[in-house]
Parts: sequence; C-alpha cells; structure tokens
Amino acid sequence: MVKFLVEFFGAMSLFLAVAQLSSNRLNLSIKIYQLQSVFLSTSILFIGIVSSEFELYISSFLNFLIKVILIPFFLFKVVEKIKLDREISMYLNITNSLLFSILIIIFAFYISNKINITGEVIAKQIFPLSLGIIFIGIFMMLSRKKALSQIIGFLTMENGILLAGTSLTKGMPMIVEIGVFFDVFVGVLMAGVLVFQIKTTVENIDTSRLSDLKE
Amino acid sequence: MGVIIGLQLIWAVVSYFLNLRFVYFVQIGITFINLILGYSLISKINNPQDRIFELNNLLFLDSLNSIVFLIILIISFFVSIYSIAYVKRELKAGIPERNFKDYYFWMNAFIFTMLVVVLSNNFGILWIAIEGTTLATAFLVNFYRNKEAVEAGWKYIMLCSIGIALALFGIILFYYSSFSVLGHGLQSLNWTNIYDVSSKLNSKLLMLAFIFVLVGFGTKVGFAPLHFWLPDAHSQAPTPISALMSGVLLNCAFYSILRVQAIINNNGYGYDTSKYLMFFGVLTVVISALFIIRQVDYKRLLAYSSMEHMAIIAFAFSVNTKLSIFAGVYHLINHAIVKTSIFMTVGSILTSFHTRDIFSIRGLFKALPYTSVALILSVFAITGTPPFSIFMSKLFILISSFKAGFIIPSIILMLALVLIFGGFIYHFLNMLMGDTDKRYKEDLLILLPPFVLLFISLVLSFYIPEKILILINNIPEILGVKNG
Repeated sequence: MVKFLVEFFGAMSLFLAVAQLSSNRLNLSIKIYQLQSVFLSTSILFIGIVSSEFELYISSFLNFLIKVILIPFFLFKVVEKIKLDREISMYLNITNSLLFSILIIIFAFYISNKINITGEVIAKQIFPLSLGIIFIGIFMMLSRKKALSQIIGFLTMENGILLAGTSLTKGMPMIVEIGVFFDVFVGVLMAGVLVFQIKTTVENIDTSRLSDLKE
Repeated sequence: MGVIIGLQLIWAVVSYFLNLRFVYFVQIGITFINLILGYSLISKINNPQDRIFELNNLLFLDSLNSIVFLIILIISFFVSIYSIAYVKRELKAGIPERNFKDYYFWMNAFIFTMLVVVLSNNFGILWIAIEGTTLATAFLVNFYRNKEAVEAGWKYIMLCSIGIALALFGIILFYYSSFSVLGHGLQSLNWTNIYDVSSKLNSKLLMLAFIFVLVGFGTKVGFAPLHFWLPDAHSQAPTPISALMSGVLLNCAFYSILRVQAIINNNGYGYDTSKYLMFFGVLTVVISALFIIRQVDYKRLLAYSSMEHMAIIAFAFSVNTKLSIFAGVYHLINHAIVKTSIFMTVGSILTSFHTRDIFSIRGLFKALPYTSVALILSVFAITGTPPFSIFMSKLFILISSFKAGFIIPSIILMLALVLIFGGFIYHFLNMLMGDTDKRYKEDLLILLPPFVLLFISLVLSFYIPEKILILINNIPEILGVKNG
C-alpha cells in the first residue's frame, strides 16, 4: 500500500515536472513547483511512517517549510517587483519541449533498467521517475530564456534529487540534509538578487540578452 | 584542523565589522597563523596509513589532502598580502570602501569553504562546502556590477549549480551503495569508512556514481564541454580572487573527484575511471589551446590556461602509474604557485591600464618596467620553460604516459602544448614590446608576492622539501595505483 502511495506521489511529481514545461507564465510555474514540493513532502512523510525513522519527519517538515512556503513566497515577491512581461520565452516552443520530454522519460527508464537495484528499497520505480525529473529540470534550464524560469528549472531538478535520495536511502543523514536545504535556500536567494542586478543592467530578465562574454 | 576552520570562519564575520585599514593587516596575520598551525599538523603525517581525525571523525587529514590544504594556506597568505595594494589602487579608482568590506567578507568565507572541502571526511559535508564555494564567490564574480560582470555571475551560479546538483545525485548513489554495508547514518558517508570496506560495495552502482560525480565536480574543475562559466567568471572577478579561484578552487574540486576515484580503484572493479579522466583531460587541453590562440582578453587567456593545466593534471592521474601520480601532484603544486603569480602581475597591469584588451596595450616595458619583468618570467614559467618547475612536472607527466603506452594521447597533448606556448608568447610579447609615452607608478607590495612565488617555483624545480616529498610519495598508495 505504502509502496503504491510513494510511487504514486513520485509519478505525480514527474507529471508536474512535465506540466512545468507546458506553462508559459512565471506565476503558474511557481505554483506548479509549490504543488510538486507538497507531493514530495507527503511522500517523505509516508516513507517516514513506514520506516519509523524520526529524521524523516523533520526532513518532511523542513521540505514543506522551505520549498512550499519560503522559496515560492520569495519568488512571487521577485515576480511582483520585476513587473516586466510575465510571459516565459523559450528557445524551443511548448509542443516540441513536451515531445522532447517523452524522449527524456524513456531514456531515464532505459538507463535505470540497466542497473540492478538490490537491497532494501521502499519503492524501486522511484529511481527512473526521479531521474526523469532531474533531466527535465536540466532541460528546462537550458531551453528557457528568462532568468527566473531557469531558477525554477534548477529547483525542479533539486526536487528530483531529493526524491531519489529519500526513497532509495531513507534520506541522507540529518546534518547533510539540513546543509543541502540551507545551500539551496541561500542559492535561490542569491540568484534572486542577481535577477535584480540583471534587471537593472539589462532592463530585462531575458538571459539571451546576456551575450557580451563570448569568443 | 577545527581551530583553523573556526578561526577562518570567525575572522570572516568579524572582518565585516572592522575598519578597512585594520582589516588589511589582521588578514595577513590570520592567514599566517593558519599557515603555521596547518604546517604543524601536516608534519605529523609520515606514512600512507597515517590519518589525523578530529570532531567525531568528520574532519581528517592524510597525505592526499594535506598537499591541497597546504596550497590553500600558502596561496591565501600571498593573496592577503597582495590584496592590500590591489584594494588601495581600486579605492583610488573610485570604488566605494563599503564594497571592499563585502570583498573581504566573501573572500574569507570563500577560503573557509575551501578549507572545509579539503579537510572534510564526509561526502555530504564536502558537497555542502563545494556548493558553498560557488555561493561565496558568486558576488565576488559580479563585484564590478557592470553588464559583463552580472552576466558572468549569472552563468557561474547557474552552470555550477547544475553541475553540483548532479554531483549530489552521485553522492546519493554512493550513500545507497555504502549504507547496505555500513548501516544507516552519517558514518556511511565518511570517506575513511567507505574506503576501508570498498571491496564489498556494488561496483556497477559505484561506477554510475563516479560518472555523476565526475560530470558534476568536473563542471567546477572546468572540463571541456562544461567549462563555459570558467573564462567568464575568472576574467570578471577581482584579480586576487581570480588567483584564488584558478590556483586553489579548481584544485579543491579536482581533489573531490580523486577521493571518489580512490574508492573505485580500491574496489577491485578495474581502472575504468581512468578512461573517463583521460578523455576529459585530452579534450580540455585541445579546446583550451584553440581558444588561447585566438584570445583578445588577457585575463580570459589565463582562465583558459587554468583549464589547460587542470586537464594536464587530470591526464597525469588518468595514466595512473607511480611516476605519473607523483608528476600530477607536483604539477598541481607548481600550477597553483605560478598561476597565482601571473594573475598578480596581470592585476597590476589591469589596475594601471584599466583594460583587458590585449591589442590596446603596448610598450609595457616602458610603462611598467618591473611588472614587465615579472610578467615575462611568469609567462615562461606557466608555459613550462626551464628552469621553472612546471617544465619538470610536464616532462615527468609526458615521460610517464609514454612509458605506460599512451602514445597517441601523449602526442596530442604535446601538440596542444606547443600551440599554447605559441599563443602565450605571441599575445604577451605583443603587450610588452612597442613604444608608449605612458608611465605608471609601481608598488612594492603588488610586485613582491609574484616575485617570491616565482622564486619558489624556481627552487621547486631543483629541490622539493623532504616533508612534501614524503607526502607526494604516499599519494599513489592512497589512490590505489595500478602497479610499478
């Protein structure tokens, strides 16, 4: 039962990562990210209930606090302050990105079939799902032009890594997990400050206009 | 070790609240104290099996990381001396004093995170610290707040974050393979624990983890297809920071890859890791050679040269014989010293001419005579001309790779090195020769560190201190060298 639930939440996270590719508004992207993080926290909570590891409860709570409340709050603030066009511009249009995401997911399942996952694992199918989320996150960072959607791509990718971490290994040790949360949080804050600086120097947050430094 | 790290962290915070004039000198004092403390720790290590533990096994020191540890301490000491003159010049050029308080804060935070990277025994904490180096330097890269600097900062934080996130996935796979043997908890991420049970781990999973870690930390080292942030970041950062990033940070990232490789070599799975390292090494040398030839910005040129040297080091470790690993570590030390010296001399030119364009600078010999001497010597040193020590280490690397039978990669490497030599000489002679009516003032403080470093490099080619030699000779056994 729990295996089913954990896999279900993992699959929903992958689905939301794909949905992320189809969103063309920054506000919507942040909301999708928020929902994905809710699923992730619930999934961690379920794993915690099964394995009765106290650390996972804390991890789930921290995940909820940072990724559902703090980071989206900060990102909404940034979007509000920038006020520029909220449309997301991309190098590859939505239809093609969605088609490409199919290839990504097939690839993720293909390489995880090659590795035998042995030992005690709560949900085996989580591994390809999380690989899919990671690759879609990277793809988002590369195919989007707006600085903010690149940040969301990074966060999506990080969610995928956390999903793999908790379901394969029942979570990393507590100190490491807190450190990772801290780094991601500070990284997003600093990237947000950089978005403001890009806005003031280039008068847009379109990173394709940042093209002075090349050979 | 805890004392050194703690001192550095406290000083990073305190320096933010002190008067800048006071910070200049205390900074030198702190880095010097750390250097002494660090050396006294290192002198306790004699055998490959010697490990010093601290803080509940979270920090440790053995022969491999004591070399990188020593490099961090030495280079940050010299950079602290150099920073005084550099900051004074930039203050004169009209940059507000407040920015330099940020500068000192972030620089000390940067040194702190690098110390944690090398001393940490735990892969999780190592990852956190490497991400920390990215965060600590992001605001130093866009220090000048102009369009190029902001662009470089953005690329830096985004590309490195992707890379490091991939490395985190690799580390999770590592943890997954080790916790079935070592049990759940912090101890199954400790390098020493994993190393001791490495033969019991699942080899395929380890290999997958290694690939993720190599690509991830390889982004930070600047391996070829992942290097796009590197020339931007190294050319836009203030020059003392460029020196720290090129000479030390790249080594720290490479050191993390070596730690993972050591486990896989001891796993008995074979030496497949070497193939990947060699691929990245040769590719990076070739690509950096091509970019060095057609470069118009001298700081970018030096950034590409850092990529080249890291790739040569990776090549040396991929050959994986006793001689080649000796040469690789030797080259790592030499590169850190000489690259810092050349960045420092170039910084003196940049603060006088205020341009990074190679072709708009002419007649350096007349404008800055002493700096020019340092520059020409550093150029010869970095391209591997005798009598400087980089010549010796490059020679050892090539001899060892020919001996081990890697004929074609070695020939490609040699051709690329010739191209790089030509590119360096062409570009820098262009700047040095010619006529000019400009004449700038030269400071003693800005010239002293590069000359001292060059002298160290000269000495190192004839004489390596006994202590360092012992440490270097211990490293092949730790890394699990093939044989002979």
